[in-house]
Amino acid sequence: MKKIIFILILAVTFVFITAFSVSAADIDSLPDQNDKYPAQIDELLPDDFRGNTAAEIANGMSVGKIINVVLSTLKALLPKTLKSISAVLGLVIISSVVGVVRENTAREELKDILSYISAICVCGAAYSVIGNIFAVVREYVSVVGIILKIIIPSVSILAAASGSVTFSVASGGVMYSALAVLQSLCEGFVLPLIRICLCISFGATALGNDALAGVSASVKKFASVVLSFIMLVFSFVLGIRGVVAASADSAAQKSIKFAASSMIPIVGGAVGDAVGSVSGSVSVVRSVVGVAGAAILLLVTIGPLCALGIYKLAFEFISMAAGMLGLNREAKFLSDVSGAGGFLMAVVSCICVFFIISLGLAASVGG
Amino acid sequence: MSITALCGVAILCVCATVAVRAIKPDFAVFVGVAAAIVLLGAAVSAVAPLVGFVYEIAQESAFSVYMATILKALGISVLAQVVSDICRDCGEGAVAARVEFCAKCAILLLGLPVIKSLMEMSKEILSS
Repeated sequence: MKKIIFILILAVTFVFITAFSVSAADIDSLPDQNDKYPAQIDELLPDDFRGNTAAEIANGMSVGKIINVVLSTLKALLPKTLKSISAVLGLVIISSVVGVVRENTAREELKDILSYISAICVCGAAYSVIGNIFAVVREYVSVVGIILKIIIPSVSILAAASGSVTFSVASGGVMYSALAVLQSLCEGFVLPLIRICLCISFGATALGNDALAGVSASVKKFASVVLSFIMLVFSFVLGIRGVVAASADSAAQKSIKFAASSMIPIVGGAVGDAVGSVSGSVSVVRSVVGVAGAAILLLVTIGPLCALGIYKLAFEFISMAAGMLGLNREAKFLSDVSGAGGFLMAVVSCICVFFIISLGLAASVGG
Repeated sequence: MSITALCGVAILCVCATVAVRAIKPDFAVFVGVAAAIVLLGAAVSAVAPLVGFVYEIAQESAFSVYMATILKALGISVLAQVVSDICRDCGEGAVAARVEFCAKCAILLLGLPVIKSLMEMSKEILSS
């Protein structure tokens, strides 16, 4: 998953580079790029991507090929996700059967210990699934941050080279500061808070202590406040920059706005409001580098969001099933895991919106 | 497993226990214990294919250790329950209570690797 995301982000960057370099009319062939990729990335790139002429590269980046990459990425994501989730659901069902046997046969002394073991086994399975997701999200935030730290100064240099020195200084400074705030708050504050919240929630489930559940809720509220502050900073930056904004009146954009507001907690409204800016940025990217570039850009951003959305919904469903089967402790923890998935979606969507709009700005300066 | 056959066996054992108690009160306990073992064995042999099926499914997932822990804990509690009931029937309440205490300790020991792995995971998540 990490490799696929990194390759796609690298592909977007490469598309921009080749787009700028092939704008001259008399270039027939490009310098050999094949020895510039690390080996582990090179083996995963499609063959046509390594062509020596613009035509060959364009063939490798055709819409059909990109759609195949999109579908194969989604195909790779779904089975693994569903396998983990179905294993947790199976564990919940078996725990409920054990619970029924326990209630009808065991004495009070053994009932408590059986209930405890059942709760920690179900919570442990859910915990290990969400633990992997944290690592993926952290890697994604880090990689996108690195790419943006390359793109933003490049945008400033291009703007300065085209004569807009004040614009380049102002925009570069503002965007770089916003990125620094966004990345440090996400990596250094929000993600650790979510982890702490999940650990406290697990402790509350294992010990059956409701006071700890209250602490977990307070930590979640604090993380929500920080995320809302992040979106406030982001909206401020967008306002200063006068970002490319298309009208958000079309039915498709309205439905995306509604979906974003409903699915993504805390920052869903702000992300929904940014749909106009996002779609404008994607249009700019498409006009500069073509549909293939825009498709890769969307794939880079939508892939992780889809995966997190699937996990969030799946855990919500399993929590509901556990509640119906009489496993109240487990249901509470699984609901908290679903909530953590929602927080991760909020973080990733903030980063994605910032990434798309930054690339749109880069494309509009360079195109 | 035929439930009617098992019910018939249980009734026969109870009648046998009552009859033996009237003749030789000391041997009635053994008849009761034998009846409990026979019925428990029949129940276990009936459930064994189901447990095997669950194990097979669990082997394919990464959570086989959790499933195995839950099923073993249930097995320990059922066995301890049967033994403590036999002890109480014989009038040995103290022994029955100790058997239940041993079962609790065994179940906790069974869950210790799970608790350890969860603490490791928490440490990794918090330190990453």
